[in-house]
Amino acid sequence: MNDEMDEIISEFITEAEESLDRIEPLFVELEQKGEDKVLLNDIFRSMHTIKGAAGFLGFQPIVDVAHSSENIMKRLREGEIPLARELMDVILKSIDMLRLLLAHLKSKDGVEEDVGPLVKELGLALTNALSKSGGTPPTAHAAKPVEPQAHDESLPKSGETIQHVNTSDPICNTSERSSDVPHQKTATVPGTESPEHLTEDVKPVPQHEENKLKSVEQTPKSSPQKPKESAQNLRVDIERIDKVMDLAGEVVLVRNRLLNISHYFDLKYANDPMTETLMTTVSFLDRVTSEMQLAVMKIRMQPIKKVLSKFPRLVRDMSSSVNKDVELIIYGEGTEVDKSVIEHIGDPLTHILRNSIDHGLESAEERIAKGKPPKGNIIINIYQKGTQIVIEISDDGKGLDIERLKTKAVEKGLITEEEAERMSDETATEIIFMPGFSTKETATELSGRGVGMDVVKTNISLLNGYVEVETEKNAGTTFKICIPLTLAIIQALMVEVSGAKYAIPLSPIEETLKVSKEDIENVTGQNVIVIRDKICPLFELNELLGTGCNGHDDIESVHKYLVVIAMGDKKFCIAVDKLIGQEEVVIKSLDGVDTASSYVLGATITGDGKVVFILDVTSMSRNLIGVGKN
Amino acid sequence: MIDQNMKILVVDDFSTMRRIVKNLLRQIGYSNIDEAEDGVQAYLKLKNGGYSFVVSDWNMPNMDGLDLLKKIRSDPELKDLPILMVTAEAEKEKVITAIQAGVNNYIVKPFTGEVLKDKMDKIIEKLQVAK
Repeated sequence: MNDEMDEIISEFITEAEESLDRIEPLFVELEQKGEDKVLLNDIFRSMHTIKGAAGFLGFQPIVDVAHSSENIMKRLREGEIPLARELMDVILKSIDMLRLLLAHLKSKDGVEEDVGPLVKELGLALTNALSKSGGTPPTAHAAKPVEPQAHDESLPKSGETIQHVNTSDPICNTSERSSDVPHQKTATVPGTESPEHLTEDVKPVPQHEENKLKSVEQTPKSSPQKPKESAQNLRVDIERIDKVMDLAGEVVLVRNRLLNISHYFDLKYANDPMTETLMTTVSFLDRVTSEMQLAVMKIRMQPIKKVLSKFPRLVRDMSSSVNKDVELIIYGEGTEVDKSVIEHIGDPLTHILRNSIDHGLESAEERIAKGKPPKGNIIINIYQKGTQIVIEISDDGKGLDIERLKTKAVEKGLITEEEAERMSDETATEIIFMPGFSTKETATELSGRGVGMDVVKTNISLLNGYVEVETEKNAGTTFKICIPLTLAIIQALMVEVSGAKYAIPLSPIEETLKVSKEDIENVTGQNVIVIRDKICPLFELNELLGTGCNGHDDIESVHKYLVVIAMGDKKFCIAVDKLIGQEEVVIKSLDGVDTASSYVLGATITGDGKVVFILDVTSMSRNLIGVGKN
Repeated sequence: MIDQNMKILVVDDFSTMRRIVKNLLRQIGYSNIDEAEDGVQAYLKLKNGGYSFVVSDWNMPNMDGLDLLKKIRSDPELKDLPILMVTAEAEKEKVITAIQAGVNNYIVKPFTGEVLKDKMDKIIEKLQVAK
């Protein structure tokens, strides 16, 4: 029973959060559209539902906040009060509070928020709005939280008891109660204002025959033909899906092993008819496994909309506090991405968005002076390109000031003056991602918080992705984020160093080279190699990983194999002893390993059954060449 | 006699609520429970037959509880189906509208299994007397 309860609670939290995610952008839409009944209804219903379920689960603070907020929504919906910014602000505050309360429930930290002040504020906002609009004076309950109700024998709204209706047959009581129903005209039920009911005398209608008159054509306008779609959904615990994902990964690994083994048999017993059967069977398994892998991956995919839903609100709040008029346009919010992308992409996107509003866009006056429309635009465009998800965030602001970036980076000692001079404009845009570049001092309260854009880069690297910046003076800046479709399975190059195998994700590898040891030069303590007239820093994998062996013990070999890694327009080489070949690997994450410092992304099991570390080239590039010299 | 095996349809758009109601129904001895997430889906299920009782939420997208109720009452095959309406608060106007539309009884959230049982027993007893 307790497990059951835990499950229900966790389901409630998820569902309530989803509801909030869904309605939050509606508020902004509402503010733009004015009093839109459909929107108001939608929001009202979600609040109502959260309140209802929270009541069952005994989460009184949630009930109180949702109830007070819903009170305002109801008056708005019924047109009793006009939609004002102050009301919207306080309702949005209640959404934030609900999120906070849900977060506490989720983390089971037992922290209790005092919702009293907010409930009071909500009540007060309603009172003010009502007195302004000259509507009916609010009753006291608007300002005070509902009393906890353990049973259904009391009216939460007016405090009036309807006990006799509840405990006896309601039908018999209708007529006697009809006399004390003052506001029958306001009996607005979403989409069901059937005129008969408003004019009709209240009378018991138990006989269904009478109801036949109000026949089927009464179907409300709000019943679109899309029930099938939602009816086919199944809510499954993520752990179960991840288990399947994990097992599918294992199957992939076994498949790889089987492929290896069958090739061995194919060579050795080429004439045995059973070999052919084996080969056919294995190739079938191969195909099915690939399909299964894709299918399982798809289970975890969700529309990215989930992450984007909070942005209209963010833009609204921010644009008013920096006093810039901003329009946010989002394309491709239906694009599906892996759940882990959903979980980790929110912060970087938020950060970029804040940055664009704060630093990218100019003030209205400045824009007018430049001959631009006063309203700034930010466009988020999301699409799938091959096996990658691309997210572009563009503003039509002033663009990055390359010279200023360079000067500041030099001031902060992130790069030397010569480096600054040599830097191409493209490379210079990368400065904003350098750790320590944007600091509290330079950032405003909005984009600041002491974390810089380097966090954006780090978070995106965690998803095996990368970010690029394109900027043009006075035309705007575009941040382009590319993330692989799935994080679980990647193509990798298998290499060997000091007898141990490692996997290097294939996507950032530009090429592999076989060079003579003599070709490696040393410039001021840094090994480099010249590739097609360009100098490229070279690192020994052994040294990077601190394996203790230095790789030079293999004196006989005069050759080195280099893996050239390209990140953006920067390159570096990793020297290894041997290149083994390409393999599809399933990433198994390693708990408790700091991937950034150990350069290990995870582990995998290879076709021959060995555990192999997968190297994290993104953090290598960041540590080795991202911050200049070590 | 109340048939504990009767098939009950729980209608609510919020899956947590469906689960809670299902749990309460199980507590009071009913186990043959199906669910639907809005009026449209509920109606489709009901049309396929086999249901003896409906516990429906009021506020739902696509087709709300009241419209479901009206639709059931105006359907010759389903018109006698007992319906218990779940509301978050007992607003008089709403309750009256529901009664006019032919609801058998209603119940205010949050409720306990006992209250639910009480309401259901009353509805069923009444129907049996009417027969």
